[in-house]
Amino acid sequence: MAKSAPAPRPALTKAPDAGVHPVSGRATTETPTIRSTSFRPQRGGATTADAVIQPEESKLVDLSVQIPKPVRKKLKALAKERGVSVDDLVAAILSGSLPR
Amino acid sequence: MTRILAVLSLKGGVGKSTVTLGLAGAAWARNLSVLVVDCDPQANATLSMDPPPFTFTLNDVLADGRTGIAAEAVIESGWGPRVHLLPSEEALAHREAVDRVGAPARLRLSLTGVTNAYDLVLLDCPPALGELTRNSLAAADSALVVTEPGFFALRGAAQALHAIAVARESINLGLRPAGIVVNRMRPNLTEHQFRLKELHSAYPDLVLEPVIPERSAVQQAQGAGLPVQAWPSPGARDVTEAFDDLLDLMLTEQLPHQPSALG
Repeated sequence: MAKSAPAPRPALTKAPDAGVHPVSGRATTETPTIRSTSFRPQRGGATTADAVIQPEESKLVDLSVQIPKPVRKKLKALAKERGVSVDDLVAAILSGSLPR
Repeated sequence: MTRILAVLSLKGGVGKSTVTLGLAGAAWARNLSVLVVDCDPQANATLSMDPPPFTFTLNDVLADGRTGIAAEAVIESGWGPRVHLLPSEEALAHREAVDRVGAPARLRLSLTGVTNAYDLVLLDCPPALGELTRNSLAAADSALVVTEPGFFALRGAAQALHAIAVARESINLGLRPAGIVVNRMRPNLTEHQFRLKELHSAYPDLVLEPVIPERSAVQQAQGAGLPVQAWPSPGARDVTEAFDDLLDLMLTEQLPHQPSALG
């Protein structure tokens, strides 16, 4: 009596991170999660690398803090290098550091 | 019965891949069926086994993780139809990161049903105590520690033995130490004699005979993509004899059982 053919086993596929060099940063095989809607690209250039992810626009408020002078100097230099204001840079750094 | 042997040391450059390839070559010379699983992102064993172009590697297998999926990635090596290879690639380094529940068991699960077809399965570990080594220790039934007669290497061997002991208590209760093999030995060097004696003193029941002598034929054969057993030189014959004796030990059931020596 002929046996029915077993169902074909799904073939192996290349790992999602197979083309990513390990030094470039941690890659994962998990299914990518959808980015939180509280974050969206605010500025986009011609390529993906130009995209700058920033917090959702919300009401801007003043925050006065005392920081060491060298830190302010570094902030100014970095802001100039990236072509953004010091306020924007500080907001981005704080947003990235604080729990969401 | 299939013997699944992890070849490890926590120090790089002591010759894990050389011992793996030497044992695979000894099995090849006896016409045994052998599978080499290259668990090292450096992929030296893969390169030395001169495989035809391949698509899938251990990285893809571990990323997939399904039971038995390794069968899809196993290829025939350049050494002949009875010597198979599960190749590695640089991207395998991604799998050092723990990103899933049950990560240490992924290799064991993926090899389920695959290893039965072989007399010997060799797992060539990377020189680190990361997920790839943990996966190898979880998948193996015995673990062979490789060292060379030098200060750092001996320390790496001690760390590897400790790792085996920890693995046996956590992820693989059936894991057994297969012993310590000394590679790249130059008996005429006083330092090598001293370190070998030191090793015998520290682990009298675990240091294996024979010792693998240092011979340029090993590197020559690796560069040519051949088993050292196929390399035509007197030096290759010395190494061949040593690996043949080592294979005898690995295929016997008389492996050391000294948990106290591993503490």
